[in-house]
Amino acid sequence: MKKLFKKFSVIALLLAAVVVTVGCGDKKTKYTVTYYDVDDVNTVVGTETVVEGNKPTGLISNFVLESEMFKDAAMTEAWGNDVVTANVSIYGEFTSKDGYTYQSSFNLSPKTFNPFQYESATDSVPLDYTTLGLYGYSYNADKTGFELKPVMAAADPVDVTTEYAKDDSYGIEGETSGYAFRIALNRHATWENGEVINADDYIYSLKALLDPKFQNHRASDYYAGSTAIFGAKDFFYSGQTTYLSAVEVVGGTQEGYEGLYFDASNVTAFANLMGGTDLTKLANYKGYFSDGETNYYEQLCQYAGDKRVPMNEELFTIWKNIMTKGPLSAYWVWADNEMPYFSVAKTTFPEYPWEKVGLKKIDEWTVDIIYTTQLAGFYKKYSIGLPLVNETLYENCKQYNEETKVWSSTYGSSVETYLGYGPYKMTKYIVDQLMVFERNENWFGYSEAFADEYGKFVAEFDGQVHEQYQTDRITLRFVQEISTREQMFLAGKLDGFGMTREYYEKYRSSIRLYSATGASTFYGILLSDYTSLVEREAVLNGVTYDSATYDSVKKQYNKTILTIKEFRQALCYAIDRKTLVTNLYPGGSSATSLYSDLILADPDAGKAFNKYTATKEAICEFWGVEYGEGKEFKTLDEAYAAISGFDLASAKKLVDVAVDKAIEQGLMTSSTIVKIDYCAASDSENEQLWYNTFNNCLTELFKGTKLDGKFEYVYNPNLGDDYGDDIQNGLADTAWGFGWQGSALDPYSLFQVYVDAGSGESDVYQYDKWINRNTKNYEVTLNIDLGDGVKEHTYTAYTWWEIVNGIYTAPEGQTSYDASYAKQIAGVISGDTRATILAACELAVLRDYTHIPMMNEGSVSLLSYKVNYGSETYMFGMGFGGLRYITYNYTDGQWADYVASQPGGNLSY
Amino acid sequence: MINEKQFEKYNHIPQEKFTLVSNREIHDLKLDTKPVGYFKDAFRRFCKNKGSVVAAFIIIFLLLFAVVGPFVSKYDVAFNDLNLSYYLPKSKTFSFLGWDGYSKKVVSKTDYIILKAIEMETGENVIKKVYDSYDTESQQGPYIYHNTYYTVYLNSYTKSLMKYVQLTGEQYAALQKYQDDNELQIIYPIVSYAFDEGSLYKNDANVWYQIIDIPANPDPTKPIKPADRLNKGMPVGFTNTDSAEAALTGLQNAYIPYSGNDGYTSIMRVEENGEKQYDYARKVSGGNYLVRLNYNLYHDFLYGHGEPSFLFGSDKFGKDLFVCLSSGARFSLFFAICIAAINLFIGAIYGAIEGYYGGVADMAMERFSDILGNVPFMVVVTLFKLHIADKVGTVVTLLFAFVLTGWIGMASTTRMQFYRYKNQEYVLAARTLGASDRRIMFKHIFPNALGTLITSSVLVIPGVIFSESSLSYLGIINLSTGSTTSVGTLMATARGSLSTYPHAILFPAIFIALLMITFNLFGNGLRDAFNPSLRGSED
Amino acid sequence: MYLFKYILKRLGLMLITFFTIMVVCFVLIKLLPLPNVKVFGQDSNIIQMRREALGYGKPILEQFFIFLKSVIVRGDWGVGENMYFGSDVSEIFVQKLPATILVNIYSMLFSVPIGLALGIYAALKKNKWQDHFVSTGVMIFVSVPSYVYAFLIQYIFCFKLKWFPFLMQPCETLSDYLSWATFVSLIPAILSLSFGTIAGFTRYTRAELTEVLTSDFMLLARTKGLTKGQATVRHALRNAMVPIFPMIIGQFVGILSGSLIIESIFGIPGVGGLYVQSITAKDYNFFMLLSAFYIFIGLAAGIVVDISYGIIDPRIRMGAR
Repeated sequence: MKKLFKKFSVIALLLAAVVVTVGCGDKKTKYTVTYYDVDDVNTVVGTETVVEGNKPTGLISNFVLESEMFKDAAMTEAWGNDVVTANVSIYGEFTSKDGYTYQSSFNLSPKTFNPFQYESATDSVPLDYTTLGLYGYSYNADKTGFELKPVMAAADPVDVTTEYAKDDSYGIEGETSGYAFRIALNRHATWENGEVINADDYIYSLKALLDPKFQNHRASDYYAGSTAIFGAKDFFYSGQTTYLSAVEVVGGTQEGYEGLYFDASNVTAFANLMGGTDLTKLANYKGYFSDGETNYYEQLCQYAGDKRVPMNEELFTIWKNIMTKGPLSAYWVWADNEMPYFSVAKTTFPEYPWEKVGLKKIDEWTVDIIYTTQLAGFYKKYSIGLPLVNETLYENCKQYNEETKVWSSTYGSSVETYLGYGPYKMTKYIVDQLMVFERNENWFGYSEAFADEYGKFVAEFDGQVHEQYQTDRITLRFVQEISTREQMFLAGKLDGFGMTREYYEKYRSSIRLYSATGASTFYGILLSDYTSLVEREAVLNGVTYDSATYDSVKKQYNKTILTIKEFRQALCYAIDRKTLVTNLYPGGSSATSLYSDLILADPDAGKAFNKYTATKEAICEFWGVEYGEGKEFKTLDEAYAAISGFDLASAKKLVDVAVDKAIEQGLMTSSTIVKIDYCAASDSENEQLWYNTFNNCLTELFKGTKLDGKFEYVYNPNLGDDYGDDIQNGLADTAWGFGWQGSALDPYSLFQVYVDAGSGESDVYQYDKWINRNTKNYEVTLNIDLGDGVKEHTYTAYTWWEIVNGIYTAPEGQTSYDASYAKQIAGVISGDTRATILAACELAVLRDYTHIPMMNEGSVSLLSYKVNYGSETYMFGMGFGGLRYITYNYTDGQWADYVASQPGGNLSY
Repeated sequence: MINEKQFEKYNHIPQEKFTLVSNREIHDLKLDTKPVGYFKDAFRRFCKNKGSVVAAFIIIFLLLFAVVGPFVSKYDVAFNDLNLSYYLPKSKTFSFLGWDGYSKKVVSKTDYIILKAIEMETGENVIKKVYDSYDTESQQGPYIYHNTYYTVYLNSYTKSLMKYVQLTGEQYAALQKYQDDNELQIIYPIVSYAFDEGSLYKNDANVWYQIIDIPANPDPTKPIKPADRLNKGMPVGFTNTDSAEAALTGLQNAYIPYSGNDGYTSIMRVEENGEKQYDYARKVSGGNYLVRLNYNLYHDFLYGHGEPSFLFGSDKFGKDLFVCLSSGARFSLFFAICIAAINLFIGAIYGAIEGYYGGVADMAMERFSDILGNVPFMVVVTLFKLHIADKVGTVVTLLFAFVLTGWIGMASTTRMQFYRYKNQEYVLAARTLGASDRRIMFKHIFPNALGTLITSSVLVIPGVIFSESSLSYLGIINLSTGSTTSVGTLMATARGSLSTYPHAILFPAIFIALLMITFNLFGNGLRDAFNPSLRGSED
Repeated sequence: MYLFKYILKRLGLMLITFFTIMVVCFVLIKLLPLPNVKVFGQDSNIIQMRREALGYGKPILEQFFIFLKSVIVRGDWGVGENMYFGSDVSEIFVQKLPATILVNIYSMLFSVPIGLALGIYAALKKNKWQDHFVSTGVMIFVSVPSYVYAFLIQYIFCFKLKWFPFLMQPCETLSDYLSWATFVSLIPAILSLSFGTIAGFTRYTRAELTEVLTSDFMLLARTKGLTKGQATVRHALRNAMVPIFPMIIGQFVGILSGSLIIESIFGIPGVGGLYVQSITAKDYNFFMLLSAFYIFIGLAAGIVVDISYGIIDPRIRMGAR
């Protein structure tokens, strides 16, 4: 029996050795340089792994190679011109480098830190330390706010719109300002390895980012939204093949069906009839897709998205039967040449030359950028930016897969495949374990020329003058468990500790506690569209909906009460946000409107949107709080402060009003049971928690009302990954905890998600898509100054959104409103006027009670005794000052001694 | 040669003509005890094994706990209240054992003052004992920050006793009336921090005295003086160098002076001398009132079954762990027993055929079970969840997922047992006597294999609960809906607070440990009992 | 000669099974829908077009042949899509494998012998106080979830006593992996992993050995005059090995799969979580490589186990009638 063991343990070791040696055979071999102290030749001071062909840096964890005495004789020829070609030993004198190290952690393995492909917050950690924008945030003089100063640029952007507005080659003919800018580049800027960064680098980088062969994820940052560069989208799409709706490609009519494909997720015929082009999402209308005998809905839905098929005879006859014999025949007069409405066509975008793209090199240190939307005031420097990658390195990181004919790049996946140009450089990257950044000596900020900008500053915590960028080294360890992070923090191995609610209770009154409110707001979506609700109600009652015969009054269950505004308003008033937020989301706060207090309506003046009187009035009206003589509260501010987002008394009254209205409209009887779903993307502990809280609140709400005992709230967490589409297509009665991570400094462009239910190829973001806010009953009349004196203007909420973002093009023949006039607005209109427009439009959206504000996110964290933040106030864009303004109370050596001196060797907070 | 007639004569010889040759008396009597059947013998031998009998009783106790539990506790599974989260286990009968809702905790000086202040205001016991304390100093630029840490025996039911609650007009009036009828001080004067937008203590109703406060997002125009930050949370007039005892003597209350429209008509007031000094509530939009109240007494007012007390403590959602564990146990046991039974049934038959026939059949069946066994379980569960979860419900989906690959384990155990016994001598003998394959399988080989099969199938039960817990930890499944939960989900949820509130995992872990031990001993007992070769051998 | 023919047949069958499982896995993972979550201000067509270029639109079987061709012809398992974007899948896997192998081998060498010894000791002292003590001890370790005692070990040894660092030493080269500092940093993880294995082996050895000890040939051996010790070692142990041996092989497969929870607590950059991550992130290339690797090892281990039966217990002829 002993023989057996010996045999098998040998095999086990063999197997391990084989696999491990295979692991090390990657392309370039790595050598170890071992450092010995010249006074004590047999103690190893440290080792350093150096890739073949590079010079050793002499930087080991806590020591610096002061002077290199001699190398061991055998290695001389290998040493060649100071480049490592074999394992080398170096003897020298070392001084302990007791500098400042900031110890941090990350808990998600980064996907990539390629600036063209990064997605998550962890991906961008390396980019935050090693790259800089053309313009960057820094504190203003008296540190009450921030301002944007040139960093990689040398000066503020110069408006050269007139130069490119002479003809229509850049689509801005006749414009006068805000479209084209000349950027002078910072001549001192270099890569980590000292190579100069000039205009050619920026030109190359944008071209590489937009290269159609790569389909880079971040490309849309430069061709979509308010910072779209002219021609960037066409260049990005040139030569790409994709499937668009055949109507756009071939036109409305075409004999037969050659070249057409059937894709169930893109059928334009039913866009306005059933409110959607994706058949797979129109399960409610399943009954329509039959020709009287057989129902083809399931069969048609197989060919969706990637599984599309060329149009054939069988499909043609199916559509013909459906449209001529089935229920749809009542809405559509069939003609044989209308197949484009039921199919998609393969289209290849035309080739687009790089020269026509809106990025021009003027000379070695100047570039011009031409945008498609007008940038004004603060947003000029805020939005202007360009990608930057190192050309030589990026070129040899390219990879091509013959099979799939797809290009990809390993740029930004290891120390060797990445070059930065910021205050720190990456010196070590071990996948899923460790990242180390050290000071980048070649950074222009450390040179004398920039001493005033990056030199001294006055720290808030002690009012003394300190050096900026005191940190010498940043180490980030991969720690997934929060309990391990807490132990490392108390053992002095981490300098920051982000906390969940359980830990917040423990360290709540520590003086090192810092809490920051987040910018984004999470709200609930209530379905108010009658057709979707009545469909779901029919299914609930076990009947297939048929508009002619269905009579909801005699049904046992009801959902259509959600179409009554008062009912939705009651749900909004009945949720106890305070208890949910205070007990579960420390640092967060309950939300009473669509924008959090951190959102700035006028970044130049640093004034928050919720501070404007117009906003306060809108929110008071939304919550039904009156002020003035004889009312509950005397002044607006008093009323606004009294809003708690929880008004059970009014909610109960509203329920009875809603029930009466529903009975009156023949939607239900006094004995019908209201049964609606709590819908969620996936099932999780937090989802459970939210459901429990809402269920408690709603049962409390209906006590003593006409729905007492006649209400059920069903838990249905099966929406899956495309929950966004399901909500938009009316498949979710109530859905809570959704929001958009919009930009906190541009609430105006973010407003698109509330008003733009439009179609076209751009993505549709509006959750309550069934409400078109470009119609008569969403008109808002404002008495404001649009640049031509205070006059009364009446537009729909959608149009106001276009105006306030300066993209409004008045229809022909609209004499009272001149098209060019609208364009000036972005540059001329004052921050206050824009805020007033936004506040009025926000009320128009809130009044539907389909968006129910819930919560503003927040975070709480501890800072170790070793370091101090630059400022005590959390500001958007600056946080608490970031690494630039962090100062140190202890060096690394002193910190180790201090921690060891604590009772039990661990810190207490 | 005997002819017909002679044969006739010798055919009827009467019995009396015969006499025994030997004269010995034969004493074997007809067995009058009932024959001992296979199962009766097995039961007898099972009872002899003390370990498994004890295990059987524990199992019965666990089953009783699972069935009876929900009726004993005053809370039901659906009950949850975020204000009662993470209360420690407390039982009146065993409180001397340390099962009293208290725990040993290290608190900083600021927290110590808050806790003592609750005792001063409400008279409830918060800190039963202070073990020891140690001082620390840290350098903050030019300033030295002093702090003291106390190890205290802390009552989890009163450490955050006061809460802000919003009441409608009627609820406010009803509470005041209840307060007068029972002469209980439930509502306390409202504190100014409740409305100071930036204050870190905005949501904490326990801080009723004036403190030096650093707001969460302070007004940038008013810089924070270094002294303020060092003394954050200390009572006004005291600094971080003063001792907690000194600070506690000089507390000044931060109650809002009487304004007349707090709608407070109850006779129970904090001020002794009767004239109204403080406001007891604050009007909020919609005619509601924000009040600061003693939540334990308020809980009694709401539900009427006394102050909150949880035998096994409460979890993150404020649910009673005792009732959740018992109803979760009921669900998990039932679920696991079904799976074990189905797996045993399919696996035994499949393994038997495979093991007995061998040759081509074994090869083919082994390959099939290889293929099915190697299909990644996670993908199968995700696919089931996507396609049939909404039609048939998550529980049945999970049942399919477990059974789909569960029986393979049983099949391979049976197959191995069959290989072991197939060529044994008695089986060869049975075959030579002409027994059919089926008879050999189920009469001869199966009883022998029964011992190991039962042991492994019995062990499947805790195994299923274990894998259900790891699956819900990975977030792949979540068996608990509003009214039901499972042991696995309880453990997965408790994992998040392992280092801060270990009690949440203590009882589910004990339950599973007991289950594992008892099922194992019970399984061993069963195996020895059912092992025919052991019949009659008394060790 | 019989054994050789049997092995050849089994290898042939294994390849067929392996191939079928690969097809089944490929189809299953492709059935999972790919998420397309909208991000404000980003054009979601990019995702569609990249998927179009990668050929996700083709019928699944056609995709499978493309995948097969690129693996067999060029040995290229493709590039990470949703995980470790752009880096070669096999390179990442091989880069992360040594950590898992190392910690599992150390823990196996530590725990299997102890497990067997305890099991044998408990079996010999059946129903005495030692047996009960060992069994209940084992039961506690088997039933307590691994993350509970992993957390306790880290809290006591790393935080309070400060004997070991919290996380595994960062390693880049082979010499880093085999260095003493790395071994010391792995000891808490080794302890956590071994509890489970020790408990499993003890329980199993005890169960098998007690059953064997009561069988007839033991009686025969004792009557032939062997001492209790000799009889146990020569006959009982050998017979008990039949079911124990697959457990050891099972341990081998365990070495390569690693444990998600232990690796995440002690910061071991192993392959423990890779498989689970590849399914939740729906990264086809990673999923196929990992499935191929683990299933191949699993099947190979199955064959070795079957063959071992024959060696240990001559009476068992695998596959014989």
